[in-house]
Amino acid sequence: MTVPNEFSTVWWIVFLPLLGFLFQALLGKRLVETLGAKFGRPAAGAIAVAPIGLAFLLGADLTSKLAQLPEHARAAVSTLGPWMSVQGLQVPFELRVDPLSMTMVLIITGIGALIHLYAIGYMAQERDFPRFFTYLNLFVAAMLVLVLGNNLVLTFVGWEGVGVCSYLLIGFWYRDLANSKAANKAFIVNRVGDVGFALGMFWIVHLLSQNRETLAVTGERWLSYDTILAVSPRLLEMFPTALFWISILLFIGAMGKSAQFPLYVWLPDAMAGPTPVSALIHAATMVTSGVYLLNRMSPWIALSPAAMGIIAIVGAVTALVGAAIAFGQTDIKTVLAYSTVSQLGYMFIACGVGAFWAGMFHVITHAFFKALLFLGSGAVIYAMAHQQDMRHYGNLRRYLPITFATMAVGWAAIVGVPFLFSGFWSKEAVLGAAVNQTHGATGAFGLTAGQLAGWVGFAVAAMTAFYMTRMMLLTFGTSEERWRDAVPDHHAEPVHSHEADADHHDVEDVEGFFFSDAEMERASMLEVHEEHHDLDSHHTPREVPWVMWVPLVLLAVGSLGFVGSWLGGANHRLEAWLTGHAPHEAHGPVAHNLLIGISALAFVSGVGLAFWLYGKKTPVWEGMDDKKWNPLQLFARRQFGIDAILSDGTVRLGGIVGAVCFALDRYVVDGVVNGVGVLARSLGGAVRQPQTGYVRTYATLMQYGAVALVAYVVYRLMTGAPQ
Amino acid sequence: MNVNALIPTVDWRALAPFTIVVCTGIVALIIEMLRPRRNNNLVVGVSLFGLLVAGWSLFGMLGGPSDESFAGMILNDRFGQILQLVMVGSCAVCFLFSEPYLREKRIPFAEFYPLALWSTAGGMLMVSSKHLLMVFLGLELLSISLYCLAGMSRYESKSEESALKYFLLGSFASAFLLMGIAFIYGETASLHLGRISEVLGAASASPLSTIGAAMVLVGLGFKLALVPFHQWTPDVYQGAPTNVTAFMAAVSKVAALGALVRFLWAIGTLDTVWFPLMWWVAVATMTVGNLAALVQNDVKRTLGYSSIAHAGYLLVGVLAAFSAPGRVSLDATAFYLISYAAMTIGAFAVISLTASGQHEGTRFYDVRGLWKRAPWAAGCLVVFLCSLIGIPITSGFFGKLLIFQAAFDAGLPALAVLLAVNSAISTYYYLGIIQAAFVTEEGAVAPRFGKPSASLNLACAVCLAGVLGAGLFAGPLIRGMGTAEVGPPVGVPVQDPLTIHTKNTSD
Amino acid sequence: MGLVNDVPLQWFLALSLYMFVLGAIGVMVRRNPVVMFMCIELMLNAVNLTFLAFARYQPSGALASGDVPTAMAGQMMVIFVMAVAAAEVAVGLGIITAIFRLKNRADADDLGSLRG
Repeated sequence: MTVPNEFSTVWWIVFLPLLGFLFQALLGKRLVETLGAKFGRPAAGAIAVAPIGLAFLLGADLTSKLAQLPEHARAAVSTLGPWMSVQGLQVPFELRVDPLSMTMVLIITGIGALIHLYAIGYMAQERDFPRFFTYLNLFVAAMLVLVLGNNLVLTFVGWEGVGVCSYLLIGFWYRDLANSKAANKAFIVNRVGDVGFALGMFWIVHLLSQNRETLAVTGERWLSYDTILAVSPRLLEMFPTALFWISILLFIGAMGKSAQFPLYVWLPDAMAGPTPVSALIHAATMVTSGVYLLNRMSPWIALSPAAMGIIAIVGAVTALVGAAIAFGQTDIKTVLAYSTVSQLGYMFIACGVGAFWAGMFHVITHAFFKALLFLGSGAVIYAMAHQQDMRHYGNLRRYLPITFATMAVGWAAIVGVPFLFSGFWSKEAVLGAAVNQTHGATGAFGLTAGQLAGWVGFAVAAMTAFYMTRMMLLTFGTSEERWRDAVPDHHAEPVHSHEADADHHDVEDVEGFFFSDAEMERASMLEVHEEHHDLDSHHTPREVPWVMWVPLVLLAVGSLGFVGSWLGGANHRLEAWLTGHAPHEAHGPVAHNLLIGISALAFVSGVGLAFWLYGKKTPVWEGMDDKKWNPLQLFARRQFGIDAILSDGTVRLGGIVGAVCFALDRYVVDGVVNGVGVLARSLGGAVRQPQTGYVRTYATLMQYGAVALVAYVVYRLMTGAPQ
Repeated sequence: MNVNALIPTVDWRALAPFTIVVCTGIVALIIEMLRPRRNNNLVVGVSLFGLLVAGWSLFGMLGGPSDESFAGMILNDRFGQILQLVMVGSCAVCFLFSEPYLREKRIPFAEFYPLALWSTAGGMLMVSSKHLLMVFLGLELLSISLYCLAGMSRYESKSEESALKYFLLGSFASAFLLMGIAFIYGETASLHLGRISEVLGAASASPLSTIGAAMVLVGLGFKLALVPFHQWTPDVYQGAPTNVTAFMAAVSKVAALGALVRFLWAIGTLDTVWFPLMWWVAVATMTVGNLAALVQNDVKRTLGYSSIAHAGYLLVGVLAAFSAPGRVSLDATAFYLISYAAMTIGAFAVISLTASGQHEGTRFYDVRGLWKRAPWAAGCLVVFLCSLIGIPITSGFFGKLLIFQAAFDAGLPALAVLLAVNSAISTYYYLGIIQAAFVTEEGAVAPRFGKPSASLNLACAVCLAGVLGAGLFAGPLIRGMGTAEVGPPVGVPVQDPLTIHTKNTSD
Repeated sequence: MGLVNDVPLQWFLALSLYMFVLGAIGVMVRRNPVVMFMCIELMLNAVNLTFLAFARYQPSGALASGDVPTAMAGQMMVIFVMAVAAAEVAVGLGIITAIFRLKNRADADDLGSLRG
């Protein structure tokens, strides 16, 4: 593959956020200190936005260059230099410029820049302002490495990089134990997936290093996409089983990152992070990296129908479970988190039925409307003194008109209002491809796995319409009595590290990640104190500043229907762009128009039901009193116990294993170690005895030594050992 | 009588590094006499410059063919050159942190620089000669200078005590060494190791030369601090001023090891008489050094015992080299010496920070809080101690690994395992030092540290670069030393006493 | 010369060994550092005697073959040993003097603070 010079600028797409990261990490704090919080923070924020914006422009430039090339030539690799070189395995620093990677780059940098801009406003009161942008810039850099890397190892580096950033950002307000726990949970659950990814990678190395025939094709770059994908059909003939298992292992990796059932449990907890983080990492970009990986490896995975079936079914289950749990949530961000889980399920259904491009289509539209919804929810939270419980909202459309209008667009997109909003188009593409999937074995109801997943998807669409409408009505509809006489509760996003309370105590100068117990205690006491000037009857929500609503408006424009129709309408631009060939008209069992009808039906029924139940006032069974909740919804609210079983189960099991190890360590290992230690020390005491400090003793002992030496030599000579 | 035979070949180039160091010492002494009061900067500058030139000339000689000159008194080979380079470098690094130390401790003794230079010169002579007269002269030049240096803190009783102990025991050991040389001379009628090995190899072992060799080993074992001739080491290391301890730990150990290697090569019958002996000496040295170090409460004393243990490790390397089938390769030993010099000087350099006024506390609780006062030096100390333990990526790890591997390959698995066990024991006291340096609570005795000077930080940085650099580039470094083998010198056809394949016959 | 030739090598060696052992025992039993060092000097003298005896009785081949450095090695060694011993005396007495200044007496057994 040639290395056209025009694409070597792709490196700057990665370097720019990295430079931004370095600036924030090394000079950010100093900048804020020098200019003062009022000017320093916007300045630092602007410097954080700039590299992302520039990277977006660079990406757009490269994309237009790529689009001008003929379809079959739209792939280029730019190599910076060698990296790993181990016994024939070469892993260079190489980036890949092709339609898939550039699509992801545009999403990451474009939406990333908007969210950075929003965060300047959202985090304005934050003491650790530069630290936030340090992590955020690093995240963007890592994410870009993930999507641009031309080999599995570089992708893995990005994969782990975004994992670390996600961990750091979820635990951004690390002084709250719950946040730290959420960060740990996200990190640990992701490790499960990462093991799958790593094992898949090792297995590929194993397969390719063993085989002479593939070596002729791959050369020494065994892990580069262009070589792996080129030899995959041949590998299928030789090792069909291994191919299946590698697909499954990589899929397990994707499941962890993209929060698929049952590894989704970390994503709702990840909402502990600041809202811009939820929007960028846990909705628009990082969680879609699993979809990206499946897309990237699609020629490989598509060779294994069994793996494809599993992917589709897992996607369908995830979509269904996510939507069902969202029914019972009261925290606005948690609703959005479960809806993200559910939408990610859609993307996996698309991949599982072979319509990888449709999965990417949904990634694009979802990135817009879900980032919009999250940022909107952030605006609401911002306006409502960091109260996140929807039961304390109500009638906010009066106070937050822009937020309401833009969020309504996001709502319309996610519930799939036909034709007018982008979500409809991508959902239609996914479900259309699913229900029309004909190849593969048929199972229950005489449907293939893909068809089954597709019909489940339609049911989920109706559920989505219901719970999203519920969220909107609870937040913006009905009356404002609910927060006028609100009782403070403990769902508030922690605010103790905000500047407001920096006056109260003097932990401002404390740096680093480790705090003494006393400091932790002081911080938690202040949190309680903070609750008193929380929501009360005099609270008046104010519309957010322009840095926050401008991104909302831009994202809302991106969620409109023209985007969807342009990409996925009659011209099938996105499919042609991603697959590299003109789309062939699918002729499945279900006609196109019928699908639109079913979609519309799902939308109307879901929305209608929600308006019927929540339109006038909040029903009693969702009030503050848990006892009055209807049992089914309460069960949903508690996630059907899935999280409890998984987390507590593993924790219990781990606890038992830990207890056994502890006992072994305490009584067996420690006994031996301490015994050896005591023995060594007493021996040490013995050998120091001759060290009397008197020079004559030393001389005497030396002389004994010399005599012994000579005596030994004489003995050896007399016994006639030598010669 | 052939007149030409009376005029030996003279290769001044081979002697250049030695001459430069000696002359630098003389110049430094003259400057010291004429210097303005309380300013040693010129002395230090000239000394460092001289060492730089000597090092440069040594570096230029690396890779040349090995030969002898001055009637067989000077040997010019790769092993010797590498060891000389190590000594020159060690001396230079010691000079870097000596000035602030001497000033801080108010030791008015600018003669330190010339004496240390001459001591280095003595060491250089020891490792690059196969003539026992030269070895003896080098040893005495090294030792007598060190006796002076150990006692240079004249108002400190422990410094004087260590000097006297070192002096009496050192001369005592020299007497044994000389008696041994005399016996060997009586048997072989020669002082040249090449000739000696020729004679000893031809005839069956006689009592006279064998007993003589045993006595020479007493002398060299003393210098190298092998058990049972080690007892002076902890006392002198503890009592001597810290910069002298650092110097002595590095230079005198390197020199003694070089001489020991050449001597063991010459006396031949290693596998029958000497091998079991040296085996036990190595084991005893490692074990006694480490065990005694466990129960110490003074950092310098602990490091003194640790240097005994390291002498044991080095001896394992030497034994492995000599009993390995095929050619004798001292690459592992030479590599270990390089890393040992860097890490031990570095550690002592950091410990020298505890000097303040005429007081110097080096007990474990005296170094508490070092981390707060000198973060860079304390951080370096961690790396040096990790290297002494043998933790990966430091050169100490690769050094131990190489010796361990060499011992295995040479069919000495028991020795290799004992080395590993000893390494594990040593972890305890090294970590104890790290712990002490990082405990921040101030004890009843408030430690008073001087502020680390720029040149001390530089010395730490150089040692750090040595420890990490040799660790990271262990492969290239060892490949570069590739010819560090002790073959018979060119021009002296020697019947190979051991199964040593020389450069001519190997490969 | 004649007298020397009549005395067998063993006698010289016996005398030098006697001196050497005497010196070694002296180092062990005496407490005054000056005397201890004198005992070491005695050992060095024993060494010198050994060297000279061996040099005198060595096979005469080396000298005849013209290898003067080898042939004269023993005698050379003795000169150097004497020179080195003189240097050691200078340094040793300096150290002992310094100790005397600090403690007003010189006893090797007073110096036992460094131990263990």
